[in-house]
Parts: sequence; C-alpha cells; structure tokens
Amino acid sequence: MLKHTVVAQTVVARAAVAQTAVALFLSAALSGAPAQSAEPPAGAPPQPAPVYGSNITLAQAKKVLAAAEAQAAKVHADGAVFAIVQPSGALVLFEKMDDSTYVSIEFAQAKARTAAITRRATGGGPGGSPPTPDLIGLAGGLPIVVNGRTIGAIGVSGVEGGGDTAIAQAAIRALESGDSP
Amino acid sequence: MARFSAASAMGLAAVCLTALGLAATPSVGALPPEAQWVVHRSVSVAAARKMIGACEELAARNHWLVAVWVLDDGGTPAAFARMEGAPVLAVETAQEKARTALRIGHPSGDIGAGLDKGELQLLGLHLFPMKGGLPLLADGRVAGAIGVGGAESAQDEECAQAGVDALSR
Repeated sequence: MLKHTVVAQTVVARAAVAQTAVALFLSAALSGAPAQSAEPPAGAPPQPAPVYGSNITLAQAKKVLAAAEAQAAKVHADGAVFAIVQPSGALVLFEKMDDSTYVSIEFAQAKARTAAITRRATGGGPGGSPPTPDLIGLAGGLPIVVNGRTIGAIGVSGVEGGGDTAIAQAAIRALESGDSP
Repeated sequence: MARFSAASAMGLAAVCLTALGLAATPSVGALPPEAQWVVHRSVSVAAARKMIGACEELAARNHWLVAVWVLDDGGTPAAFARMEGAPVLAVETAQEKARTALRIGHPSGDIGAGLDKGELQLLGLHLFPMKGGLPLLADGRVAGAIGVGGAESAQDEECAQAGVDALSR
C-alpha cells in the first residue's frame, strides 16, 4: 500500500515536471525569441491557433498537399517531404519526393504532429531539446485553420535554406482561398 | 611460443590459400565499373500516388474505410493516405503489412497460412501475419510494397491488389 502511494506520488511529480517543461517550451516559442524577432516567419501565429474543430478531410488534405507540391516544384525543392495530420496528431496524408533525405521523413511527421497538438507553428523557440520526444523544435510545422477552427496541421521538411515554413504557408493558403489545384 | 604458433598458422594458411589460387593480390581494377554497383528498382512518388488513388477508389466504391502505405524498395515510406473514419490504428497495421510483404516478397497474408499450419517460429520475425500487404515486383525483384489496413483483411488485400494493378495500367 505504502509502495503504491510512493509510486503514485512519483508519477504525479513527474507529470508536473513534464507539464512545466511543455509550458516553458511553448512560452519560449511565443516569446520574442531571436529566431522570431530577427525575421518573424510570415504567418506564424503570435498566439495559439484557434481551438480544434472537426478533423481535416482527406479531400482537404489532398488540396493542401497538391499546393505544397506545386510550391516545392516552383522552388526546386526536390527533397521535400510532406505530412498532414488531424488535430490529435494522427497521420492523414504523407508524401515523400523521390530525392528526399531519409531523416526528413521523420521530421515532416514530427513537425505536423507538434503543430497540431500544440496549436502553434513549430520552431519559434530558441531551440534546444523539446520537453517530450513527441515534440520537435524545428520550423516547418503549421496548424491548418478553417472557419476559425484548427482542423489539422502540415509538416514540411527537406527544403534547403529553411524554406519548409514558406512551403507550408503556401499550401495552407491554397486551402483557405478555396483554390483546388 | 604463442607468437611462433600464430606465425606458423598464418604461414600455413597462406600456403593453403596460394594453393587454392586465392591469395593473389585482389585485382580491384579488373572489376568492370558497371559491376561495382547494384542498381535497385524502386517505386516513385508518382507511382505511389497512383496506387493509393486506385486503392482508395475501390474502397470508396465498397464503403470500406482504409489507410494505405506505399514503401520503397528499402522499406522507406513513400506515400500514405487515410480515409476519414478509417481507424488511426490502421496507420500502423497498414505499414506493418507493407513491411511484411516487402521482407518476404510475398503477400503478408501468406504468413497467416503458415501459422495455421503451426509454424509458430514465424512469430519471432516481427512479421505481421494478416492480409493486406503485397510486394511490388519489377523484373521479378521486390521494388517496394503496398499495405492496406482498416477494413476486413480480405478487403484490405483487394484494395492493395487494386493498387498493384494500377501500376500495370
């Protein structure tokens, strides 16, 4: 019985530490961190994205992906990888261009998942280790917002020169403006 | 004493190898350039997209809700799509089926048949013994795999087959 109590307390303590770490990670992402103050990534929300709405549909995800690919082709990002997730972080759509680097596969999914479950653009913080293995501090993940609700997120990786976020933004704009490429 | 033994053993080995004609300095230069590389066939993103489209189309027609992975020849994810309402778990089952098909070069469901016969050692190989994973063959070699999950496993396999068939159209 005593043992159980101790275990329970440890678990609670660990949870508290983890929560604090996540809070710090996110507040760092929102504060005027060097990366943001120098050149704020256009479209990076200064506040959390809106609360969650319904899950992004596969049709919507395909529109976003098509726009992302078109933009990637335009800037000759032959190694781009794209992942689109629903608000919970579960994968909906994924594509890897033929010339991509292997690690981009993991990064794209991690960015999408991080943006979805934190409701924030990724990479706004000062870097460093994210508080949980599920979160990633690299830029290139953006929440997808439709009708004032967050319906999912996109993660882009493998674009030279930090162009991941720009492609993600172009992709999301296509959905918001109703373009169907 | 130990050193002497080792030296004489090496000497003996050299004599044996020479006798076998194997000890001559390997002539690296003699290997023609085209023989230095193994060229793999793999699935392109365009092909992966086409396969997933065909698979999804069949599922939609039958009101099945599926998730589909296409892996390249090395098992690297090439493309994925999950229909609305398809279970999130299918993200993983579809990938496991594709991996299984890739590794054995046969449908993932073939393992299940083996298990039915009591070949339990198959379980230790991290294979996923359910229908829904099919290898992609190019010139008789495995060039990738498709894995489908979310519906009944026989239906998953039908969807995977639709994907494979799309490549020959």
